[in-house]
Amino acid sequence: MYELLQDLLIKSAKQNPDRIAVRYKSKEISYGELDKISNQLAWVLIQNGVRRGDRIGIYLDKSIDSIISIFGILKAGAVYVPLDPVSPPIRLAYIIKDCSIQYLITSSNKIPRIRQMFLEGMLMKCIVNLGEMRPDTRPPLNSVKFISRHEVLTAPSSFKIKPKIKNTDLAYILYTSGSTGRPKGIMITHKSSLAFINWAYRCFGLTREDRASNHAPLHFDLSIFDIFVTIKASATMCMVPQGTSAFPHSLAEFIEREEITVWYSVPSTLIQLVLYGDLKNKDLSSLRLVLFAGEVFPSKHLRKLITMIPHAQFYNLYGPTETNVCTYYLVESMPSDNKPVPIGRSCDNLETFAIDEENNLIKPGSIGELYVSGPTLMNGYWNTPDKTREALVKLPLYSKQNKITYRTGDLVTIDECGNYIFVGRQDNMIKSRGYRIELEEIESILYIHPEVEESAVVAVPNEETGNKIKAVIVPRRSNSLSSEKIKNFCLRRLPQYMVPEIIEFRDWLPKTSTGKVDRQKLIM
Amino acid sequence: MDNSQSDISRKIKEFIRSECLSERINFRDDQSLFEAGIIDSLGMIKLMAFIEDAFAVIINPSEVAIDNFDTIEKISQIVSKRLSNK
Repeated sequence: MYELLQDLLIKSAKQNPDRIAVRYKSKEISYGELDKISNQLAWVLIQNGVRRGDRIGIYLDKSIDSIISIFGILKAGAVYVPLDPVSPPIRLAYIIKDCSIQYLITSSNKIPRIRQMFLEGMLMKCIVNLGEMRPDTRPPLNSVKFISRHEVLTAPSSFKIKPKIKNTDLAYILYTSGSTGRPKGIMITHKSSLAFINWAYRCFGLTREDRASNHAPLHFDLSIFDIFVTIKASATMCMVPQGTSAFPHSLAEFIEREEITVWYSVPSTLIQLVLYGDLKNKDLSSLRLVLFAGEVFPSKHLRKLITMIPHAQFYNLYGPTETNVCTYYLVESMPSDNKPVPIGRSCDNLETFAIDEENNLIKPGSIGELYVSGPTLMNGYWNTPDKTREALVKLPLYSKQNKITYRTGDLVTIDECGNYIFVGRQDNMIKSRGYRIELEEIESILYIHPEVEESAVVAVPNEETGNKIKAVIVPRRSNSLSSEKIKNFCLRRLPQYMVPEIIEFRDWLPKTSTGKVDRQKLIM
Repeated sequence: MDNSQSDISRKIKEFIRSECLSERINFRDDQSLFEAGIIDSLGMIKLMAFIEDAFAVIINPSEVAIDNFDTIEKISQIVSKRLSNK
């Protein structure tokens, strides 16, 4: 049996050493090479002091090297933490300090930003530069050990690395927007990740003939399916080149050229394909499976996509990063009205239920909060036991064995066939282009600005992107603030997808009778 | 309004510096914005919207491909061609 995530690669490399594991642009790597180079990286990491459970940052643009890094880190018995390559250095330095990352795998084009992260008080023992060395990429600090690509590629590879780790150890930490104004780290163990991977492998029947896309960035949990289910199947993962999503035409060509059989992304990317990808003139006959997750897929666009790719199966997958995928729905017929397709039923390896405000299981027509329990659940949030206690609760009444249950905060209803339908959120978390965003995190950044007296951030529904973020600001002194200043202030502290697109200044914020900001009035 | 190609690239660069980059990073006009980690696809979508506004041209998503739109040089060439065909 597979005990650890890296065993998936080791086994596939033994059985299919010459098959291609990963493709990126014109480069590719076979299973044998991926296994070998990740061994070398693991050896280098261990030689330089990496121990079981150490967190190691991956600060790389999407590339074959980022997949080598993931397996190298796992084989060293450590925990990988993927860092958003275009996030501002202030935010990344916070994440690095938060989970005390002391080893970073990166490439030369990131060195200027790493220098800035040191200015933010980041500490680092060792930096592995997998990129080409250039004269301007000397070590950012003398006290930091600098390891080159050459050192990795000349390290021993054919030895048995057996770090003493268990499958209940952490495999990765994925940081997501946090309502307290700081990103929070979701901790996932080998065991819980494998529970999801094994389910998905069975459910979607991947074989070594498949060519699966990798569209999501690595800090986004959709990538877990792309990487590990593909590698378990000895199939080929084709990474979508960075930036391609802005060019629906190029994205459609990518699917055609790479002969993708399994596609997985957020709906907003697929909507761009429907609207601007010129799919009528593309040969997408290779596609057998289109999976989407992360946000609601507006029915009119989904209907059109299905008519354009009639031979493929379409699945709506649902699950917060905290639970991996927990419900799924095969789209066989579209609802006749413009209602969204259901998020479906529980995956067979876990249990889900929804209860209303009076603690009753919901019936068709009523609305309740969705709870999940089972082996795919996270271990908690890094370093924030109080947040973990709020999210992971015991619900003896409805869970069979007094199991730990995750409160999703998602409101759902149920149809006559037992399929859940997503209705909305209980809090201020929103999705924009599939990214999960806590509006309070943006508000708390705005409150740091000395000239902001009061602020409220709301989501304005948008058909192509899900939501547009709008900030309404009451300035302290009315004439010195501008929306450029606010955008720039946010850009230095938040990832681009969280920077408000609309900024409005007002003299006061509308309040409800209880004195809370009336967000509904701000959306209009 | 002066819209020579160098002027166009200057304006695009200014936009990227103020709206996409959180810090000062030097980059060349012939460098791939994606390879250099300057912007991601979201930044590119914002840049396209800016170009439409600033130069009053229409960037039809079905007409541009990543290979002819990934450097400042290529983008300003396309914009300047559109402007002269007006």
